[in-house]
Amino acid sequence: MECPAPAAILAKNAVLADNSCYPERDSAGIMTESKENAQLADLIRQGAEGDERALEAIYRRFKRPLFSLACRYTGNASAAEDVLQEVFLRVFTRLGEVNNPATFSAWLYRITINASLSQLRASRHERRAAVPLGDVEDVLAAPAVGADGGDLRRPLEDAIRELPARLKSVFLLHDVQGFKHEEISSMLGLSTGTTKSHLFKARMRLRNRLLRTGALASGKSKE
Amino acid sequence: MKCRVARKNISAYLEGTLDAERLSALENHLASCADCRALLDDLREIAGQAKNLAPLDPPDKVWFKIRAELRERRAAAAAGPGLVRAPARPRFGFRFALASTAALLVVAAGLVVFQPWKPGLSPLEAEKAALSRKTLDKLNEAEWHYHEAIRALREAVESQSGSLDRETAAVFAANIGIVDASIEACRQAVRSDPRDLRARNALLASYGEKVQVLTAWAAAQKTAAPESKASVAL
Repeated sequence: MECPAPAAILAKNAVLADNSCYPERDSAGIMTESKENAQLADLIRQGAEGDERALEAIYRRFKRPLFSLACRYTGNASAAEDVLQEVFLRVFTRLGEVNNPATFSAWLYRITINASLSQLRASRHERRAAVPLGDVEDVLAAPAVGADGGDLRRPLEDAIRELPARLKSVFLLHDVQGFKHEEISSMLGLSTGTTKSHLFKARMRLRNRLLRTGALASGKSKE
Repeated sequence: MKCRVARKNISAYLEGTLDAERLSALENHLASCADCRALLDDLREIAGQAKNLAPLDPPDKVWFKIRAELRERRAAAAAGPGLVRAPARPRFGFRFALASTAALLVVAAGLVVFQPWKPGLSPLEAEKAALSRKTLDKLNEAEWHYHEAIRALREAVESQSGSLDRETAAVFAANIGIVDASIEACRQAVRSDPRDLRARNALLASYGEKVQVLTAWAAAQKTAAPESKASVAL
């Protein structure tokens, strides 16, 4: 019954094929975890030695899920660009310290969450020339409201932005990015009991807000 | 099962992590409680929609900025004394002494750098520093726009690669070769000192030349007779 992991899978299986320097996936288009880790380990090693193409391959592999996370966390595409830049600059200057490629992606997500949180705090003090999340093409493409059982995505994006930081982190990582509680707990330094409780609270808050704004037509099962 | 307990179990139910006993109790409860069923439906809807939120792509300029900054840092590290590795962790007593010395050094360095007895950075110097940073940002952005224009023009020329006579196409190709050599020389100068604004401007001027040659090439292809069949790889 557990949902598949959309962005987590996306990050792991990101296509590297257009860069002929690096190996492609097998004919079935599937890479085993050990093969993936070996490939990532190679990229990390080459990147640590200053190979720009390896750094670009790492960037391309993670840019989408990390940018999506930062965008939804900060609610501002231009702030998310800054976050992405800060995250990769920090990571690329410390690649030599990466001992275990299997934990590399969790490290990236943790840094992204922290950088997004810092951005959010900073933006409270200094109001910047903001590019609202709604200006991002993919978000705009989503239909607006659907109290009659239609599309909830746009109001859901708005509701996520209003969540408190910790609940938002867990909700985005679990329900949007597709990570498991064990992975989230190691990323955020929380127990799995806490991440489960945060997830429930986040979903309940979202439900209440969506019901309040009329975006969610509750009681489908009510006769 | 009471509603309060059912609600606590609904999240685990959605994730499929409920044990058999609690699962059965919850399902029995759901069969008779419309409120909890409505809650389950809503949470399921929210989780489902969250899963379907579109992934967002950052603009290409983010990578160009990261790359430019990395090159700048690398050049600065190569020009300076280089990164010094942290020494092995010293013993506590020594660490305490080291921390005290470091604190004193920080204070002393602060006094030397900021010179609180003097007025701060002059407005002119501050403005110059800000201008330099802004100029570099603008140059990075301009470089990105040139890359985009060149890529589009190359695609246009490649798509019409058979439309010009062999001799004319060879002249254009030779010109592109000269401009590319100039771009490479400018790139090397920029790599060795990314803050050298003259080198950066020269690089942009070379990109501009490449755009001009490619534009002229594409225009010549457009006006050339369609029966002319010559193909020159870019």
